[in-house]
Amino acid sequence: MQISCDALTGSDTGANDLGDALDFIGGIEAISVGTNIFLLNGTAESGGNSGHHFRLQFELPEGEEIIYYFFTSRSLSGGVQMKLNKTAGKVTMTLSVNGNSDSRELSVFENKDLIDLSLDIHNDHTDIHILVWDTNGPKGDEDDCTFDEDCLYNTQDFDAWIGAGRASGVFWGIEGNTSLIETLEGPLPPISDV
Amino acid sequence: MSKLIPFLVLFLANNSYAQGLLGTGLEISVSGDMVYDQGINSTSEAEEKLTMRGAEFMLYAPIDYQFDGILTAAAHDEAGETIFELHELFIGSSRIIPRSNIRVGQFFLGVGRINRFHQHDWPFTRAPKVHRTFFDDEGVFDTGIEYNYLFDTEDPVNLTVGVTSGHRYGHAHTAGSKPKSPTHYTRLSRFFPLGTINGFEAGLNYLGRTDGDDNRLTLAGIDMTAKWRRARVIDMMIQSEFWYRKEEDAQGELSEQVGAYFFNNFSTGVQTSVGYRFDAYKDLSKVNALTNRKVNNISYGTSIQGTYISSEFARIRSTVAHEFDREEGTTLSQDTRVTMQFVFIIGSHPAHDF
Repeated sequence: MQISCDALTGSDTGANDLGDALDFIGGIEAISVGTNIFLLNGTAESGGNSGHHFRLQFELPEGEEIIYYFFTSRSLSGGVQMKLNKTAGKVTMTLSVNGNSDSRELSVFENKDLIDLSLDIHNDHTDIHILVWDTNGPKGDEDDCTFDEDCLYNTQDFDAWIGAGRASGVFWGIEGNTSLIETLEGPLPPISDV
Repeated sequence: MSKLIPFLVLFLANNSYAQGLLGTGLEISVSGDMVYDQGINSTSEAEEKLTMRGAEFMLYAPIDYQFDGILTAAAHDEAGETIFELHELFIGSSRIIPRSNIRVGQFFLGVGRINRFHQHDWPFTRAPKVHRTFFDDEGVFDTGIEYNYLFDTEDPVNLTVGVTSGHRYGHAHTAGSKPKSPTHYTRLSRFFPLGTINGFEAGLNYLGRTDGDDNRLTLAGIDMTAKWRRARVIDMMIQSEFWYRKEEDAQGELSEQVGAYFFNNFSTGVQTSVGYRFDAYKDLSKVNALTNRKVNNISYGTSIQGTYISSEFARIRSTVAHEFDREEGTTLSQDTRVTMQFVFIIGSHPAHDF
């Protein structure tokens, strides 16, 4: 195995030089990989065997649907899928990983136009552990925080995630009307230590 | 008189229990591992509180003339909550098959160096990044069977092979799920005597597992430990591990990482020692999402430590550590922290490996 000095100092190879012909979605550089489907800049550490924090701030008008992808492949297949839609003023979040899926109404955002979510995805556990919070609300990470209203959703609190396994992939992306996106942040170090 | 009956029952029960302990050879050990870490720079992720990192209860004894039994339960601090978990529960024997040790149950997998030791027995406080990433903050344990054979050679050569359920690997809050192929591992080690009381041990390690979603994990590593003694004091110790990890998912996507650490500790007196450690970690397959070009990255860690050893049952260690991540000519994160560790063992404690 040959290792250069550059490899040992992490010096610049130009791999992160993105050029100008890029879309910006919520402040993050992106490229289109399909109709209304975008791959976002940033990858998960350690081949996806890691935990990361994300912030998603966006408008969600009545009848609209936005899908976020995390720890996914370059084509945004597989990994974590987070679908958000609004019907009759009620916001519903559906999480899916490896064929396991669960939905929950986010009553804190009922009849509100702006959704501001923070989430930690611990993909370095045997079974993925996802915590979703209202960015402006409490950020509990203990078991039952969903029911104690310290978080909006904790996969640990629901049987749907037993044996879910890990997401396979390092990329993240978005599908939907990107003009609704206000702010995107990620992949950042997780804010919970669970 | 009726008020005395419960007291007498308890007294007699305790008395017979104590006699039972004496008769069975049951040994009890309790260890405490308390850590305070203080961030020095603003980006440090130090918790900045005294954490009860581990409270371990160990019971062990010969079961009969052929088998030994061991039970280890440990409480860990997880986000401020104390979580109790069974670490080890196994039946083992070194008396059934000549030159062999066999154990069945739950145990820390016998690969590498620090994965084979309980956290409070490590020669440093915090695991290097390569261990935290490939194994866990503490180590990988599982249920299964492990066989160890000591070859009939001039210098001791050991072969360890193990197969464990593989339902879980590393950090887990759940029971996991059935893997496509269970966790299987092997370690071939050789001990080289350096005089009468000094020695060097080197091990070659392999671990594999395919989880239920067809993610194939392969770990390969080398571990080395050398000790120079003066009477009962370890004058100098060198410990190092190098690990390579490859993971291939069901779509054939490959991810590879390497990492290593080198630790050197010197005695500065009968009850004191100082040491330093260098860590390195590199994600070989990291690419930029948008340019799809390989991203040059590396993480380094360095630490110096001083240890006060009151006896083999109590020690206090102070460490100054600095870790940083570099990517494409930019330092992404830095973590400088001071750590104080207090470790004690009460009761008896089984003999350690080399």
